[in-house]
Formats: sequence, C-alpha cells, structure tokens
Amino acid sequence: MNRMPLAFNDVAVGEALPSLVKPITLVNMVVYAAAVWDFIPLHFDRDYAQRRGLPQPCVDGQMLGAFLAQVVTDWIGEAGTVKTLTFRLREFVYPGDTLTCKGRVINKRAQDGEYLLDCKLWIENQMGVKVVTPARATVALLSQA
Amino acid sequence: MAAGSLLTPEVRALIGKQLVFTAPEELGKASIRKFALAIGDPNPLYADEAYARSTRFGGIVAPPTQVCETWQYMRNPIETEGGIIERFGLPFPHVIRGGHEYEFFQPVRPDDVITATWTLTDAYEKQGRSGPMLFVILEITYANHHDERLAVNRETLIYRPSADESGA
Repeated sequence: MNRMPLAFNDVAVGEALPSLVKPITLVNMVVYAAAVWDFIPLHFDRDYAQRRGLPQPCVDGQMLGAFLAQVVTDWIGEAGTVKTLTFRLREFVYPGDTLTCKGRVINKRAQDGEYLLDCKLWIENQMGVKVVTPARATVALLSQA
Repeated sequence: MAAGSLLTPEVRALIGKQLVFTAPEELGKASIRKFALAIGDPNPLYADEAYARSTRFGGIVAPPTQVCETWQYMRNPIETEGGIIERFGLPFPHVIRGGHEYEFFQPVRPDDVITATWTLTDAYEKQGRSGPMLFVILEITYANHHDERLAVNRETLIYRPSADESGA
C-alpha cells in the first residue's frame, strides 16, 4: 500500500488500471448481505431465487459497484479520491462465477484547481461476458507532479 | 398488456415522494471492517487505525460505496420481502437493479451518524424484448450528523411483469 503516489503528470490516457479478480461464492454473498443489513433471500437462498426464475441466488448489484470502486482505490492509493462512479448492471452473477474487474484511463483534465482522471471500467465473468458495462469513474488526484 | 398500462396514475402520483431514515448510531469501525471483509478488500485503510492515522485521511474511513447501502440506517426487524418498494407504495411484487450513479463528496468516517433521504424522482415505461418494463429512478442523499453531504446515489430499478409470467 505504501508506494509512490500516483501523480497527474505521470498518468497516460489509454493506460490500463490493474485488474482485480473476484471469485464469487455463496459465503461472500452471505457476508455482504449481513454487512449491509439486506436480508432479501434473492441474494442467498437457492429456493427463493428459483421461485423468482433464477438458477441460483444472484449477487447484489451494489456489491459489483464496490468491486469497481476497489479497482480504482487500489490503483490511486492515497494519491486521490473517487468522485463519481456510475455503472450499468447487465447480467446476473452467481456463486461459482469468477469476475475480472478492469479499467482504462480515457481522459485527463485539470478543472477548477483539481486534477481529474476519467476511467472506463467494466466487469467480465469467466466466460468473457461483460456483466457490468458501461461503467465510469472520475478520480481527483491530489498532485500534478 | 397495453402500452402505458404500467405507468398508472397511482405510480405517477408517487413521483416526488420522499422518505428519510436516520441511523440509530454511528456507522462504526466494526461495520466498516465487515463491509471491507465482505467485498474482499484488504486495504488497511479500512481496518487498521494505526495505518489509517498515518495517511492523509487521518483515521479509518469506509470503502467509498458502503455509505450507499440504505438498509443499515433503518431500525427494522429482519425483513425478507417488501423493502424500499413497499415503503414507497409501489405496487410491484419485486424489481431488479438496473444501475447506479454515485457521487462521493467526502470520506465517510466511523463516527458519522448518517441520514439517508430518498426521493422517487422519475418513472417511465419502455418496451423490452419480452414485454413492457417500468423504470423507477430513485435519488438518495446521505449526510452525517453535521449536515455534511457524504454522497448521492441515483439508482434505477426495473419492474418487468413478463418476468413474473415466466414461471418465477
């Protein structure tokens, strides 16, 4: 975690963010449900999910948003903060899936005294299907150089 | 089902409705550490006070999206049905999540006592491949006990009656 802070001048448009792999298990879906006090059985009960027409319980969409945020925070460390994160949920995610969360810098701009990076993000499952797309994050970096 | 039949006067009348929930207590270090554990993020900023104090944040902060989960601010018995849909009075048995737009204004801290203000800002119908769908847009603002704005979450929920008819 303690490494050279990312500086605006060092970032290249087109640069890839380090990707993040998340294996999905029913256990971590249960821990997430408990952590956010959301007890809707769609996210942990197989019988309930099947009555709703799904093959298995599905991951809470906001958990996928948390993964996208981590792609960004792992990359910027203390060098800045995430200002915005938007994402569209495309496909259900189930226990046994392995997700790869990816990103790329698509723009850098200095605006109102802030050093901003715009990143395109997405999440693919183990079959290469994009389960979350499109997604964008805007980061404010603390320093230019 | 005829077009326009999902956006009933009953649903339209709910546009602009607002609900407010204030947490009974501060967010707390334990809930932050549990959320980080749940998402598999080992960043010591969320769990190690000595480390966090050495950073520009000056102490433990929450992972950015944690604040946007609203159930944690409600003092309820355990609920397995209903949820925010029922609280707004939306006449749907269930919905799916379409997506989110988050804005983050300042780091969220363990001692924040958070108020979530929900507004139903829009509802509209679209034709999908399997039939009509109703989109409901909710905007939630999260503030702490100093009235400092922490985040805004615009979320899209989708009701598809055709999903009910598929045998679910």
